[in-house]
Amino acid sequence: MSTSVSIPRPRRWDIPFCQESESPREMLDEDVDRVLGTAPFSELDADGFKKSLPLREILKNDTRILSLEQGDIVVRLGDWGNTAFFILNGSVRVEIEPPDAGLTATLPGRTPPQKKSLFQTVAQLWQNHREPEFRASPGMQAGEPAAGDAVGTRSDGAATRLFVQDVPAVLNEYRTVTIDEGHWFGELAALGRTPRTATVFADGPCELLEIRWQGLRDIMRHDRDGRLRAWIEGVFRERALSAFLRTETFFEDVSDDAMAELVEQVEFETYGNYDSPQPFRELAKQGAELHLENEPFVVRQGDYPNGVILIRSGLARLSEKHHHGHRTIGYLMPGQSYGISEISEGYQKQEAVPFRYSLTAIGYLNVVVVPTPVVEKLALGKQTSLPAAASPEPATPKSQESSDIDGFLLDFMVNGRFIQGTATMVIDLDRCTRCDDCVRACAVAHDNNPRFIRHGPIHGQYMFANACLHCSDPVCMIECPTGSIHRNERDGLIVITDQTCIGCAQCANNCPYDAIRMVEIRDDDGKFIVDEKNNRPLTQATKCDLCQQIPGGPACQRACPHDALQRIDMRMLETVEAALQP
Amino acid sequence: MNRRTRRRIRNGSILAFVAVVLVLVERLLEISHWRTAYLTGWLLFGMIVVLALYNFRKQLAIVPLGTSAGWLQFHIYAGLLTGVVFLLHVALRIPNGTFECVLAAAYAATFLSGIVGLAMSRSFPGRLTARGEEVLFERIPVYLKQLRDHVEKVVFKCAEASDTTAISDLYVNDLKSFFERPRNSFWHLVHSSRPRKRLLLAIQSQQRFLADDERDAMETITRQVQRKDDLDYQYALQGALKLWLFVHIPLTYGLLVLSIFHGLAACAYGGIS
Amino acid sequence: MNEPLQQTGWKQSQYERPTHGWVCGRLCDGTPCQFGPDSRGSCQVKSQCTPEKKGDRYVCTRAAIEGGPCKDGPLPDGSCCQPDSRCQPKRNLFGIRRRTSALVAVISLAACLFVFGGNPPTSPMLPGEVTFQHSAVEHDCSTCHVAAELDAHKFAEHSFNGDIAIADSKLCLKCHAEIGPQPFLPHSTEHLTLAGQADSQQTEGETRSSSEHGRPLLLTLAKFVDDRSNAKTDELACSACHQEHRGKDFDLTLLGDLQCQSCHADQFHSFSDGHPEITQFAYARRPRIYFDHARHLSQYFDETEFRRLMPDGTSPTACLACHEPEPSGLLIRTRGYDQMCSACHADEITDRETPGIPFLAIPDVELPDESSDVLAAIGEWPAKPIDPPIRVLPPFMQLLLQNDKAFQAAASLRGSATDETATQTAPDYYWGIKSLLYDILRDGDAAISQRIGDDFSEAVGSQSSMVPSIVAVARQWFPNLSDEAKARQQKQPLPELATVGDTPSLVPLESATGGGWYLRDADHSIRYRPTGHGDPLLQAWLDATVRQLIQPAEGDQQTDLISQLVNPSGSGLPGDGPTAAGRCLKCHTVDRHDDSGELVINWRGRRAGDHASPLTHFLHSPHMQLPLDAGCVSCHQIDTESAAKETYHPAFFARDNDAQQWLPVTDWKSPRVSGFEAIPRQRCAQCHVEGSAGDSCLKCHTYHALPVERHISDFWKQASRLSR
Repeated sequence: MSTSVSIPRPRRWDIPFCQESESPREMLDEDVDRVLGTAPFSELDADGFKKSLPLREILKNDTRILSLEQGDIVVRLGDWGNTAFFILNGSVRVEIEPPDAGLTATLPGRTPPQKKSLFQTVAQLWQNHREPEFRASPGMQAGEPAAGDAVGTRSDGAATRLFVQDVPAVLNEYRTVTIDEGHWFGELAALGRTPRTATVFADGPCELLEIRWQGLRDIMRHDRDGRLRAWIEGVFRERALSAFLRTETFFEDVSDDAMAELVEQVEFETYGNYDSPQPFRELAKQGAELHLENEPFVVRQGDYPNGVILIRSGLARLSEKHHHGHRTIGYLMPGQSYGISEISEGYQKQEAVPFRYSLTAIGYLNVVVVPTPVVEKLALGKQTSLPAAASPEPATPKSQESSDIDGFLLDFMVNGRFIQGTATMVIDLDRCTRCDDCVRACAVAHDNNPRFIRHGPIHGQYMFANACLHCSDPVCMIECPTGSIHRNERDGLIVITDQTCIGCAQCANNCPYDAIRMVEIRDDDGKFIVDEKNNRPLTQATKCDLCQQIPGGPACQRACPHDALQRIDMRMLETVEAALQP
Repeated sequence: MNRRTRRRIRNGSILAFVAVVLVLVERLLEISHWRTAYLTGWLLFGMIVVLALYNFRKQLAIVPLGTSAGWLQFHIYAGLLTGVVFLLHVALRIPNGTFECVLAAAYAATFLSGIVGLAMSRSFPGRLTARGEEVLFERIPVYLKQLRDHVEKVVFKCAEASDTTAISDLYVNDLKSFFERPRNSFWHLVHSSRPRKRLLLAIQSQQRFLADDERDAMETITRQVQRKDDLDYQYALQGALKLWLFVHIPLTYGLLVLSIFHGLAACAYGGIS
Repeated sequence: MNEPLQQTGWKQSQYERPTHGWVCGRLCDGTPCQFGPDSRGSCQVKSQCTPEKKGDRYVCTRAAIEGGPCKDGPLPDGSCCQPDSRCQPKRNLFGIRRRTSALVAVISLAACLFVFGGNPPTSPMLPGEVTFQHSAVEHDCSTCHVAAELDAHKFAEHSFNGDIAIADSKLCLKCHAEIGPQPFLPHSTEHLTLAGQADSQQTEGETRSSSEHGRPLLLTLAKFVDDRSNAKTDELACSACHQEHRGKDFDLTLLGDLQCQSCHADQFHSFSDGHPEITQFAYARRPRIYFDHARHLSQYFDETEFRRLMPDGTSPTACLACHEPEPSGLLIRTRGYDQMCSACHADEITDRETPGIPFLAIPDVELPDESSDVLAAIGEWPAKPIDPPIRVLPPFMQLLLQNDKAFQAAASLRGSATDETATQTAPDYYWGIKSLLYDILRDGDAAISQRIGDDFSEAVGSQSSMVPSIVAVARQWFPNLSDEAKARQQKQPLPELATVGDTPSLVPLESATGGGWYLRDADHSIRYRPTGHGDPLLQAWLDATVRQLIQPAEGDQQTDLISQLVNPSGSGLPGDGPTAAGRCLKCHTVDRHDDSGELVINWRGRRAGDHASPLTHFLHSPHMQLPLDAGCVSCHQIDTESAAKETYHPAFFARDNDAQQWLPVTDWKSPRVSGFEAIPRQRCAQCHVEGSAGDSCLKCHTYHALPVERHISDFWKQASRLSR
């Protein structure tokens, strides 16, 4: 402690986007000028921006310019992207097949997870540092993507790009649409914290402006007349909506023109404030007792269905009246829908059937409503298959009736928002001997640093420990200034890049589950690394990364001798039931 | 029947089967003039080594070597099997050499500690969940201090406020030592609430001498006493769950060393024939 | 204050680090610092800060994680106001456990090195007391263990020496020499020998009762784990069966029945179920003394008959009148001739009626034509005796003359009357006899032994020499023999003293009473009459004869020498009948030895020493203490069927080719006749079952082929152990 390494406290934009790994080149001032010259940026009012966040700085630090060759792959379906793209010139092609037949399925070229080899894993046991929270001096390592058959790699400055070998062949084989100069793409995934919905590759030489979603967010916040937002809504309806609707089994085999009509008639509805994690924290505070009045109703039990509700992003609670209160009986996740069974049933009886349950928005919710007439019109076509075609509503009463989980526990999980988790850590306290093997394993897997604490909210015999759930809608990312906390491109895990974490503790504040902890970082011989200005130890955010580098999955789960600890994917109630059955 | 019961039945019957086969084969080999003591000896040693490996697997937590739960299952049933092999090895006699006795004792202790540990690992968690606040064992001293400070604050306040010393006397005589550190671990292990009752009675007996404001203070104290008692409960049971390994693991290493020498001697002095 | 004790917020609760071996020394007081010690266990608390100068004054720079800036702030001189409050960190549970484990391991290692490192090893290593028999050497390991002599560092390498068991066993043999030359082979015997015994039992195969339940299940299974295919040749260390260090009173010789059977060809459940029949053990061979129990008991010992035959004899009333237990308790032996047989058979041996066994005889002169010169050449010759003279010379005489060429030549021509040469050679024949007499007259015993070799001559001369009788004969019948002999040697005409037949016949001297040599004038023969049972001369004579019999026969004399000598009737002469004196071989059987082909006369009955099977024993004495309903007969039933139909039992005597004489059967194994019915195994099994008298293999069988005395002592030892 006597002598500590002192470095300047890292800040946002210490490492501009254009200096991150795989960035082709610097973002020069003339580049910025050029961008500012083009719509819609030219239409933005630069004065509307805070002094601390001038538009020019945002562009300089949160964007970069990619110049691409014929066939270069920009984004791939299923990737988790944190950036949006604006086409400066040239055009790109979007492949709009359903995923299973999709280009990505036949085009590997997705970088394989950089799991450690067995040897590396064993070696790590000796390489771990004895002192906690060691951080190497900042520096970036670019991942080396593996080349597939139909996909080649080409090197371009610091970047290594994948590209489609034989574009014409691909064009014949797949349905693609072209996006031309002056349009956005990728913004939905970036802002929605959802996977890319399509694969995009360059159609001839083109230049793209790639922008961190933080930058895009700031721009949207301060563009007064909200033109950009409206424009993005429009873009979604025009471009992604049909693809989105097709993910719903009920609509998947609708003819194109019918779909076009459908797209025209659907309505968007948004509940809660998307850009802020606040409602999350407040709701999470409420704990097990359920205050429906805090949750805006999407539909009310007993109302007549005005349409099928498809969840685009956010969470929705299914509940029914129970004595004087409401009882949670399920929840809906993005991609799931509600109402089809009622409508189709009504359609057959030729009389309106009311909703059996209430649907309420938990925190932020963005839904697409397909009006009842449209559904019925479509239904005329496939009379017979209709009831069967009712979407598999994963967490709806169907499974609820046979559920082993008592409603109270379900309430607890929904209110505590644990259903967000794709890897919620649940410990069965009736089995757990408190031996801390899980913690020890976690520490060994992370350079002798545990990444969770074996405490947290308890319901009955189940403890939902303070370990990252890897939420389907990670609010922790919302206010990260540097995008250091981001979705791992490969498997969508939410991870923190130490190199870019500036220790602002926003994520820790935003996480409703106290899954992120700030730690004082140290150098090789255990000395705290302190701020050269005021000698205060620098901190960084740490959290569970689900052992993304360790072969064999999360060490905590494997290390539990009494299989008391489980990482459960809560999105499907079935899996939860399976996991929590005694 | 839940899946753990099914697993227990399955593994149990496998164990029984293997045990029977072992006993039979040993008998047959003995009939055929084999020195079965050597076979069972090597077998026992091998099994103990494999069982001891479980601890190393825990160190290598991140290496994909199968789940710890799977290992534990194997550890438990193989461990029980060593009991059978051991009895075969000593031919149901109590060894009469000094060294042999020590060795046998070491084994027996390891085996029994394992059994006890297993029993605790299965019965205590439920009890822990059922009573008191779930806390991390390492932090219990901190929470003890919180309670202690809180109570003392209350006591001092009363002492200052009123001219009587009823509460402070009570605290000094009955509660001080109780709050000092974890208490009554034994009673908690045997699931007895006698000490708690005794304390509450002591407090009760004072009630009638108290003024109203003192009564409120006493209320608080009583609540803290109960929380402290619950904390002790957690301390005792969690402690026991950790402590049994202090017998089991070190003894295993001792046992390994002893049995290596025992094996060498047996071979050098009895011959492997 | 009712909010939970444990705050889980990210600000209030930091990671627990169980792998980090140390915790803050203040934890037990409930006031641990935030960071805890470093990995070397030294406190990291930095209560003091290095104040920062802002403008003209210093400000406290203590970080939030260390409690934030202090109230008082830095001292004017810019130094921190806080005291140094570092603690003495403690190991956490995990750390302590790791150390404890290491400690225990080290301690036990040290203990082992102390116990085993010593040379010789120290007593704690002793794996338990040895049996009291070995207790004398208990504390000197090297007496029984090779390893004990090695120094400690060789110890381990010796642990993996596969031959150590045998090496140790060799040390056992230092004291236990009785195990014999092949100590490590099964039954400490060449397995060929074992096989031989097995075969001899297999011949009894048909009498074997096969087990009802086949082979025991355990043995069937045992074949799967180890079919004792190499059991015959395996070297077995002593320790394979004899496990020491099991306490003072441990029975080293314990061996399970199944263990016994595991190596054996035929396996069975128990003695009562499947064990081979035991006939071949009880009556393994023809009795050495030919005694027909059936006939004796049924005929001779019948009261009236007995009176008639033996007016002054006493008929036996019980088995024990003739038999008695051996002191060892192993056998019931016969009381011997004097108590059993003499009463009736004494006279048969010294029989006054029969003339006794002729050894020498003077034949009568018979010539085709009485030409004077031939007679002259013969010289003096005694006159015709009263009785007709012996035609065939006695075997002994032929033996004496067998090397006299001239005599033999003449003898061969005799009888062919017409032949000239016969007449010519006649003198050689008679002079052969006369010169024999002359030699004996002159040289005595030397002459005999010179002619027939010491073997016979000693036999004959052993008791009382026959020479005096011969001299007497010569004197009486050939008074001038010496003169004549000298003259004949010098090829001069014999002195004209007397001619054939002129010699006066003297008073015949008869040995009227007693046995021994005597002169019989009646037929000019010298005979021997046994002095009684076990007459040494006759015994020696017969032994000598049977010894001759193994030499290949040459010439007729040899063969009929045999035929006559072994004739049970004892008389040297054909047609003489079994009433002749000396009927030794009538009872004393002659055995031909298996491999050497040598003949032996069984002068004695069975003794404890001569044993049928070295691995099987039967003690009579314990059984005689049982209240058996019918005494000996309850096991030994007289076999009336196999009793002899004619004079002699075919197993003992067979008529020769021309059915003239009885020749003894020398094959003693088969046909196996005892005169008793086979003892049924079930008879033994009545008592010898588990829980009663016991049916362990070791009851009757021993593993090692030890002297029988050892087995007897073992039996009593075991008996005493059981009674305890």
